[in-house]
Amino acid sequence: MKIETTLENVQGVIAKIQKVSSKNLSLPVLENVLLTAQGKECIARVTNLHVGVEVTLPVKVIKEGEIAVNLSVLAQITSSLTGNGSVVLETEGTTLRISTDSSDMQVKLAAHNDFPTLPKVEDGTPITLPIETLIDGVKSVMYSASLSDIKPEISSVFIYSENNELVFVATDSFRLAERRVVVDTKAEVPGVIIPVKNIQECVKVFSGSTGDVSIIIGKNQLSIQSDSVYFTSRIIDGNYPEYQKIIPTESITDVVVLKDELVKALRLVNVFSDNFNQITLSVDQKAGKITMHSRNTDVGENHTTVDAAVKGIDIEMHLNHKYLGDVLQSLATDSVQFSFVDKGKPCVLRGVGDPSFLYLIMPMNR
Amino acid sequence: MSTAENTWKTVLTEVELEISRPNFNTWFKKTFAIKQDDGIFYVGVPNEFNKEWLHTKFNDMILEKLSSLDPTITSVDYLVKKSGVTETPEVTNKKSSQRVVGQSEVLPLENIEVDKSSNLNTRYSFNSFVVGPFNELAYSAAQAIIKKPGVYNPLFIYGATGLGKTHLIQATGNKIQKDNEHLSVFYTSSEKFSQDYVNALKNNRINLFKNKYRGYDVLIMDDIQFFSGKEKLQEELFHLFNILYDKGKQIIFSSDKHPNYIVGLEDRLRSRFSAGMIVDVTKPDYESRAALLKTKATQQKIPLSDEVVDFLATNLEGNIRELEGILNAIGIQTDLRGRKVSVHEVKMLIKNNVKPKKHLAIEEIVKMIAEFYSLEPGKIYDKTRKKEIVYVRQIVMYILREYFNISYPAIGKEIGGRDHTTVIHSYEKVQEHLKDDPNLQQEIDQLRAILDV
Repeated sequence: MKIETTLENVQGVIAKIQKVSSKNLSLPVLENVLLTAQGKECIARVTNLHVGVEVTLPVKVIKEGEIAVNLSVLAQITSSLTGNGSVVLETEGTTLRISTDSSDMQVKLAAHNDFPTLPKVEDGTPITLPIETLIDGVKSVMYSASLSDIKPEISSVFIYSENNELVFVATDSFRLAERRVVVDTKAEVPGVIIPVKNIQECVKVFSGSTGDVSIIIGKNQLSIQSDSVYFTSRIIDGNYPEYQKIIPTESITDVVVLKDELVKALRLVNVFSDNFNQITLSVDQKAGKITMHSRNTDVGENHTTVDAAVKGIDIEMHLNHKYLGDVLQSLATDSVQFSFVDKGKPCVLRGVGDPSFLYLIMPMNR
Repeated sequence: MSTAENTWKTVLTEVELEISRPNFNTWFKKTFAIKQDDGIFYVGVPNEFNKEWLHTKFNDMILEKLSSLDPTITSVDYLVKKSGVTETPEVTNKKSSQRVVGQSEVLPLENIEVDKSSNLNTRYSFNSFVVGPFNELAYSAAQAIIKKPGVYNPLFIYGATGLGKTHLIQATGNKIQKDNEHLSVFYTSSEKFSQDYVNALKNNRINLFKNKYRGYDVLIMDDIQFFSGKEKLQEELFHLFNILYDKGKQIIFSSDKHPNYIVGLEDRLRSRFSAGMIVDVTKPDYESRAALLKTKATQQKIPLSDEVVDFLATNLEGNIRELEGILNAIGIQTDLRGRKVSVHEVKMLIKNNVKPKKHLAIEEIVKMIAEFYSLEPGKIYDKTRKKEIVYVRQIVMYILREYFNISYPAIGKEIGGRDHTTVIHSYEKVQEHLKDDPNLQQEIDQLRAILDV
């Protein structure tokens, strides 16, 4: 195999796929990237057997061929190279010769025969969507997914279509995020549950991409195809919990605060927070403010107030402030609305003027 | 062990010798034989990646080995399946009792244990189902259906809340599905069905909705009393019923009342329900309650002394759900104390957990009975001798005497100032009728369910 391309191209592709391959003790070949130069293109393939990615590398193919090379070594090399000259990759016996203007390297090759092929999803109709929509939706909820493996259904992001909206949901059963994105095409997405670890890779692989992708959802597998990237992931063949039932429809107290002020207050609260990240949030209707109280036996105690527009009665609630911090990062609006139903019931967060997003936090018991 | 499993085991042993250990562990370790059918050998694999690679890389090798063992095998197919051993995490009752302080409360998310295609909750099985005189008829009807779907069509099970209707019909569905993999079984509550219908209407997908429900081999619909008064839905159900019925598909309904007493149910539906088998589940008797308690306690690993079982079975006449509630409370107490709870402690517990026995005022009872027969409650007290009112009035008196232990003179005084001999006469008359009128018996049972006596 012999190919020539620019350093920038190689770096771009490697950065996208780098995290997919990991140290795999059971099958060492998966630590590699498989490069296949054929016809006019070179395809880089990586997989960890949970997700698989193929990215087309823009190259000039001088000689066709197929090689497997350790991805982390390759990543270290390319990230250390600078400039915008061209790079030539050429097989020489059992090594890969990488030459640039200034460097000349020989990297050991791995046996590529054992590198698995990626499954193609056949049983499903393709759905066309702008990739930005998908990334945007996933990003606004994925931090809420559970990280434990006990219940795979909720260690996932759930995506389904309702009318002309695509709905993204994630929950770890302590909080829940839901984002609705309006889509132009009548894309019919049956509920699909994608493990959050896999969808994180998807976000990385497609970040910076634009344009439409074609999504095929099978029974156990899903694939996303763009011009230059093929992504495939295992999906959970199960039921997502019926979360809509638990979203409160009424409230006794509505509070609106400026997001920036809340973020600043939370930063202070964080200094004093205990091991459980617990804060006490009290709403004072008369004074028009909310107070956050946190205490750590080793550090001390803190009361911080934020001005607020309060409608309804005074209420006090214990919350995990990390859950608050998480959501504030993904809210685009200037102000945030809290809706409380009861001390022991979940509280709802929304961006003011943004009906597309909803966040639910369960209180802490004390 | 089936022959397919043996064959596959031999293949695996041979493969293990030929390929490297990492390759074997990654690609073969989690595979298993499903079946051999018509020359095709089906292998279960954990995921699509595995399937793809076995297919592209190892297919020839596998096929060669298989056909050398059994020449009738001509091809191999790989199916992504969860392995035969279902991994159900051990649920201990510790979980519920240990509430860590400083932990967030958990959102009440449900539905995860539900099977995706059939919508049945796998938790419901006959293993945990206690049969007693109160439900044995319903149980045997369900068993008959499992043996031969369609034999009683529809099967209609009714009874008050918390007596195990849902458990019974879900377990029936699970069993049918397990015995007949090719049948498509579907469970739905009537609420879900109506939601589905409304959504279908809203999104212009009514045909999809129809096709979906008409394609099932076994349809189980829970709590159909919610259809009462919803004409459009009843019409949809009527058509669906006819189509499934004509095709000989099994239909199972549950409801809290006999179809004849579901208010606002169209006659044509009612008569169709009656075409099959209608059975009821009543409240469990003492022996059944004791058996229930013992079974549930063993399942949840709650140590329970015989005295406690006896005490609970005697004193809790409520429904099964209530029994389970008490049992959970006892479980938590047992955990906390680290020993069996005594009868005395159980008594204290019950105080807080059991809703007090209903003390209904006589007017209340009269009102409920009158409403059951769609009569003005005032008419019962009147002097009128209209036949249908006299009939209801007699039933009122009978029920007050029989189930509320009110004296004859007191009843007479309350019900329009009548003489106690009139009450005695009424009581005896109803008692007489009960002997040869099954309809009356059913009405009384219904009323008892409503009045919770």
